[in-house]
Parts: sequence; structure tokens; C-alpha cells
Amino acid sequence: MERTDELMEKFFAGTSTLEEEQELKEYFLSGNIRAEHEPYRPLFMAFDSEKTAVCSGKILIPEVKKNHHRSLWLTVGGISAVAASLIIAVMLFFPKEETNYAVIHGKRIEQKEFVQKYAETKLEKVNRLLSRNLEPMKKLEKIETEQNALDKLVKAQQMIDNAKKLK
Amino acid sequence: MDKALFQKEILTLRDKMFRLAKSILQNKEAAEDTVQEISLKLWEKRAELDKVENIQAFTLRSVRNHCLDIIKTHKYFEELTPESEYEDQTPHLQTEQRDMVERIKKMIDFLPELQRTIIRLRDVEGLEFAEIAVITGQSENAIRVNLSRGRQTIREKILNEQRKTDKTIWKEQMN
Repeated sequence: MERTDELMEKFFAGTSTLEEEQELKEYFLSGNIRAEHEPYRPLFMAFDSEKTAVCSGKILIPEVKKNHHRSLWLTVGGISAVAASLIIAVMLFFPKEETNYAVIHGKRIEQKEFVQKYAETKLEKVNRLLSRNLEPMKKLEKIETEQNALDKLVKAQQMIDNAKKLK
Repeated sequence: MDKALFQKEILTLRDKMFRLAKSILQNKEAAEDTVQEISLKLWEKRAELDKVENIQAFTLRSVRNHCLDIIKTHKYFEELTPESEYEDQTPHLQTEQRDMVERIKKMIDFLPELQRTIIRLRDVEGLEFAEIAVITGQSENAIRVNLSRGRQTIREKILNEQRKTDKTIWKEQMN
């Protein structure tokens, strides 16, 4: 069997390689083929002709906005930075106002007037207690003053006595 | 994948995409629309294309799947059936399509979609069986079988044509 016939059998059996098929195409398109192969010539011409069909429509691809993502990130980053600065400034200049409350006998009391009156009452009581407890101290102060005066008299007497002795 | 690489890898396939779409849809305008649509879809997913091993097979597979979806959803792209063979056309049309090359193209068009797709991917585009398998989602063995069936059908039709021609010539000579 001639090589072309052999290749044709493989071609129609679907077992030929791309190289063998290329060999067949070149043979049938060469114009120098045997008469018995002539009916198959248009087949390879058809394959060759179909390859010339091209897409005439223009393919439109959207333009890439090169810095789109970058500028977006820059914008977002900038806004975030400004927002963060504002928050920090507010926190620094206007410290967070804490809720005022007092714990009286284990209870949380937020009524400012009540707490104030309670504190004043307690302070007055403390004052009274202190005044009362400092009374003995005042007496001690008086004794101390009198003691100092006596001491001074004693010292003066001693000085007079010493002077007499020297004479 | 940037625009330059996309143009190099994808847009250079536009004619192959077009021929495949035209072979399946049997309609030039619809094939061009398909090329545009698939190109846009791939452009939108260009970031994922870097992971694709065989861009050509992936692209042509996308084209085929898109065309098959169109056929499914649009009745006007009905498959050509053997009953509506080119031989049923009027003698006038037959005269116009006397050119054997054009007739063979028609013969291929009348093959089942898978067979004509495989024939065109192999015999027109010159793709390897492995690549055709990726595009069609068939095994390489199934590709060989369908290719053989398609080629055999065309061969029979060519030989029938030849016999008819020989008979006509013989009759003319006898007269």
C-alpha cells in the first residue's frame, strides 16, 4: 500500500497524528496528486479555505483605569486618617465625661443633690466630732503656755542669783 | 493579567473563537457577538486567567459552552438535521453550490455538533487530541471515535457525489 493510502486509512480511522495529517494536506494541496485521490482533494481544500475565515467585528475591551484602585485606596486611607485624627483630638480636648455617682451603704447613688447633702451632713458631723475631741488639747495648750511662763521666771531668777554670786 | 498580556493571549485567538462559534451556531453575526461576549467575560475574570494552564483550550471551551447555551435557549438556532440535507435544496441552489469545496463545507455543517466541532478543531485549527478533549469535555478516545465518524460520513458523501458525477458523465457520453 502506498504511503498516501496508508495515511488516508489512518486519517479516516481517526488514528493519524498531526504530522501525518499535515503531510496529507501538503500532498493534496500540491496539485500533483494521483487520479484516484482526486475526489478527496476538495476536502483538504475546504479545510484550508475555512482557516481563512476571520472575525471582522472589532472586539471592544474596556479601558483600564490604571490608578483607579490606587486612588481609591488613597482616598479611603486619607479619609480614615482624617477621621482618626479628629477622634483623637476630641478625646484629648474633651475627655470622656464619666458618669458621676457615689456609693452609699453599698448602693450606687447618682442623684447629685442627694449625694451633696449627704456629704455636707457627714462633714458637719465630722467637724463637730473634731471640735469636741480637740477640747482637751486646748487645755493642754493653756497649761503649756503657763508652764513656759514659769520656766521663764525660773530662768530669770537663776540669772539674778548668778549675778549676785559674781559680785 | 494586564491588558498587553490579555491581547497577546486571548485576543489573538479571536479568529479561532469566531470559526468555532460560527461552526456551532451556523451564523456569522451570532458568532461575532459570541467572540465579543466571551472576550469581555474573560477580561472581567482576567485575574483568574493566570491560573489557567491552557489559555487556548480554556477560551475555546468557554466559546463552545456559550454557543451550546445559545442553542438551548434560542429556538432559531436549531441544529441542522440530516432530514434537511443540502440535497433537498432546489436545483437552482445546487447549481450555485456546485463548487465541491463549498459543498464539503456544507457537508461538515450538517454533521452533529460534536463531530463538526471536533473536525474543525482538528482539521482546520490543527489542535492536539488532548486540547480538543479539554474544549469539548470528552475523553481523547471519544474524540478519536467522533472524529472518525465525522470524517467517514464526509468520505461517503464525497464518494456518492463522485459516483453521481461519473454517472452523469457516462450518460452524457452515451447520449
